[in-house]
Amino acid sequence: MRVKLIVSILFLGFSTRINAQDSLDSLLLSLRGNEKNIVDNHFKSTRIVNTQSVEQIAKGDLDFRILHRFGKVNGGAYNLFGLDQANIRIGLDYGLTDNLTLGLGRSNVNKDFDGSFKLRILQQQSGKKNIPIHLSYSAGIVLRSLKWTNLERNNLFSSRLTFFNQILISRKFSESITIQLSPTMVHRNFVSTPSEKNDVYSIGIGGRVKLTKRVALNADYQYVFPGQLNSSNRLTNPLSLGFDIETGGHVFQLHFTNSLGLNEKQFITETTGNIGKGDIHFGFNISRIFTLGDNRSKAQKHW
Amino acid sequence: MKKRTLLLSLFFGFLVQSHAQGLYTATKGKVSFYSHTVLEDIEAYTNILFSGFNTQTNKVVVEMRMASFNFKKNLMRKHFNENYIESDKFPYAKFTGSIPDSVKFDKDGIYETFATGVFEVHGVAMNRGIPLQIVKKGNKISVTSKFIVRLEDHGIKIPSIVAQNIAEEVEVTFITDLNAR
Repeated sequence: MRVKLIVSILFLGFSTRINAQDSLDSLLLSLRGNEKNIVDNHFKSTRIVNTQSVEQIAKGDLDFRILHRFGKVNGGAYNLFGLDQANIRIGLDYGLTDNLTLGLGRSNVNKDFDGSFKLRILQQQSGKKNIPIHLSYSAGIVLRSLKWTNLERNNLFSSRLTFFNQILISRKFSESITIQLSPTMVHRNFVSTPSEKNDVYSIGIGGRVKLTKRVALNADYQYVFPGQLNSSNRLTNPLSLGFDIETGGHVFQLHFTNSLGLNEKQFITETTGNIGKGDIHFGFNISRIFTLGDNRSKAQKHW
Repeated sequence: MKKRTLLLSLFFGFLVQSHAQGLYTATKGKVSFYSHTVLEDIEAYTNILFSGFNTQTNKVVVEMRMASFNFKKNLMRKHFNENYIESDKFPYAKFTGSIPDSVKFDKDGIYETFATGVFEVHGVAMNRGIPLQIVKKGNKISVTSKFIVRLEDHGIKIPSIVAQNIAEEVEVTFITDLNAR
């Protein structure tokens, strides 16, 4: 009896001592449970290649972005393998809040102006709340400002407009792998043949593999549901593959794509490159972030 | 037999009590760090700080959540998390240490002391000491510390292109009020 007691006391004493020693660590672990762990930085920049990514421009930041597509690589030496041709879009994206980005752009193709916004609805997170995805909604208008070539027709201003709506759903599976789905609807006020649809539906799939801290491999594809576009133009689905290279305030995106499109209307409804025939373009996007707002007070506010 | 049971329960009671006594924790605090170069000053702040302190064993644990730091520029925050601290891989910086046994926290007062132990940032642990100012008042303990972290010690590489903007040594400050459990 006595031996039993002594043993049990010893045992209890021992176990309590162990408990006291690592209780601090286990305590901290239990304290952590209520945290909000946002899974951030799904992509390096606000475009995967052509398609918008779920990344927003932070409040008070301005992103100056140049998109550049050369001609077809298979254009031959006469066209310097496509480098003679340049399709350019210059754009500005501004973070009105951390969850709302406004964008403006102008491309030399059709002298298109575009204006858009991107609203973040959900953020992938764990801890207090479990949300498996980032969810954003993006919408915009494209204004074709090129002079009409057919002057016999009654050309309305509204015929210059195209609208797009996009839902961006993205999940960062690991530090290096992100996959995004982007169901998209493009509404064209004006189509050139009766067989074409004004509303064009497509679904985008894209993603990235982060190779090093500063380099990622991105891919981006839009599947346009068949029967919506002009069948005589041999239109194709845009597919792009490229690298993101981040150097401080710049992100360079170098890629190969079959599309010359620089806005949603162009790359979803006007892509003509046939990869099977070697219609591949080299292109790059350059993004430079300027900090206009000073977050110092915000950073200190909760301090 | 009865006596024995009584003794035993007293003993248990004592054990349990001594276990709970002297344990202080906090889930909030103020942490900041400061990097100064001729070209740029970088400051970051967070109020997320987990800390535990056992006045009986003199053991201290402090944990900082790297992704919670806020900066003057959003881009600094992005680069801090993505390129330098790699907060996806190494979400916490942690100090686990002990204050010398000679220091007894049995009375209210101000204690200027230090703790030696392991400081881990960016997945790289290092043995070191940090100074601590501890103010004990009733059921509350307030801990303040300021120390220098050398980025090189923790495998944080600064590319030459931004070497002018980021200091090699960063000053870390934290203040936290712990409550008895």
